[in-house]
Amino acid sequence: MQRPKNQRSGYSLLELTFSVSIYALILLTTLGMLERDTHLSQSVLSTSHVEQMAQELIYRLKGELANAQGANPMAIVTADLGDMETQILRVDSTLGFPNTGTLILDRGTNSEERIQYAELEDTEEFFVSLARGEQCTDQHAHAPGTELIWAGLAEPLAQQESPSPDQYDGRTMGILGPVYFRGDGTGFSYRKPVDPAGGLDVMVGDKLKWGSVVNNVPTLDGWSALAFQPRYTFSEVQTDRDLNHDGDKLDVFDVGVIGRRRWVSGDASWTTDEINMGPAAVLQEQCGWGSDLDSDGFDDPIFLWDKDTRQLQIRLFVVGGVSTGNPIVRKVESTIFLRNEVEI
Amino acid sequence: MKEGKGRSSRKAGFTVLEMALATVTLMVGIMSISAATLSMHQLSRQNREKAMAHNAVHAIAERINSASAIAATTPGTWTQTVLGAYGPGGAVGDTFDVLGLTAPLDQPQVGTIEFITDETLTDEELGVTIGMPRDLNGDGDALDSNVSADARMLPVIITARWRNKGVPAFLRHPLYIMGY
Repeated sequence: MQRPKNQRSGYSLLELTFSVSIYALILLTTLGMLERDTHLSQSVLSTSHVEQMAQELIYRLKGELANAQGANPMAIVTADLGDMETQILRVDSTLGFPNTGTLILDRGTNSEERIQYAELEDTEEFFVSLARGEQCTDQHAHAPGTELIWAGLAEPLAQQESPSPDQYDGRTMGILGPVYFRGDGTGFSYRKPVDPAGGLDVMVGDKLKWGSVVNNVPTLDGWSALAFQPRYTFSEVQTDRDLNHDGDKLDVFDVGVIGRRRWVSGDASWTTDEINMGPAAVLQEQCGWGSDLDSDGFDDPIFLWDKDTRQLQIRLFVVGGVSTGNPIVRKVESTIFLRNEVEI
Repeated sequence: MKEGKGRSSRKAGFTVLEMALATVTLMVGIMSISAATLSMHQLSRQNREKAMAHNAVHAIAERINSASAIAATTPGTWTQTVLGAYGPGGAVGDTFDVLGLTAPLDQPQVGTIEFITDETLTDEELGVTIGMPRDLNGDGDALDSNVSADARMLPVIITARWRNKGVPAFLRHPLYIMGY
């Protein structure tokens, strides 16, 4: 006697519930693992990409500066500068200053102001086309005798023992410990050995001929500068991430490139030669360029130039994964010893 | 006809065994992907650590070059000045740390700086290819076992040792510094 067919082929409610539960569990686990793997893969790839970008940028900067001679662009105001003046700023010399940039005047005082200039006058005595009260500062009048520096430059103070606040712009971690410095440290001005004849003879006797190759023309009046140039703004609020680990998610950053600019000093008829040294991924805090980016209690200038030891410390915070909403910041740093003596 | 229909409806589904096999295969595949991802993560971390060590060692080399260039302005005390800064017990010291790297258990810091003042040592003994033995004090021979008082050039070996999840790793960078 055979049992009815329909009785053998079916499952009981208990069996069905049990199997469905097991499969649901397995499927959910599988989906969870897939999601975790996807996230981890994206994170690993983004991190690798950012690290590679940062490392490539360091290598490019090292290559660019290997035989360079650093400069310390600073000047003294030689005529009154009213708080509404936007045409010219007269100084003793603009030699070594990039042909556009930002100046810091009366730093550390209530009259501190950052002034952007659009060009240098051919006599090398004027900054021309001024934008006043830049980078979150206010417009002030400045008297003759005021010292000004190119904001890009960061150099250690000669006097490191308890300097007064008006003498420095920040404190960073140096080789032997904390170092007080002035400037933002977002740029570096330099010259390189050139042969104006276009050949390889860069010597005059036992001296090097200094200049720059501007638009493929080697010239002794040529100068070069590396400088941070902001490209877009990034806010921690956008991704709910604390990028600088300062305990809040409210900071706003400028993300930009390290640009290389070459120009001819004292001759505005030359076109400026500009390229980017890497992608727009270098991080700086808005209204606080050169400030602390990893909450270690020390400021983080990109370039810190010690003309006495001829050491250029480079510190880059590179951000990646912004477009995917998964920003990752990586820090790379190195030191370059510039073999050639400083002249200005 | 009825029998045919019944067989057809039975064939259209999956047996528990088939489902189990498919699930196991899927799980194995996903676990392999997980393992590969973790391995990729580990390799990425190793690369990062190596780049950090490379940058740190290169930076130390540049700083020693800078100290050497400054000390060379007084050639008579060049060796003492350089060793006084980066030698054992010097102002900077002969060890350094690298943020982000973990030192091996048997040494306090990641990096060590070694000045070679024995010109009779060979590359094999030093463990680097740097062209030793060599006349380091300019006296015409390579027989002096201690040239720290009158060296004109010195080999320096900068080494970074660290561990990644217990696995030791190291990087060694030899260079010469000149006292003239």
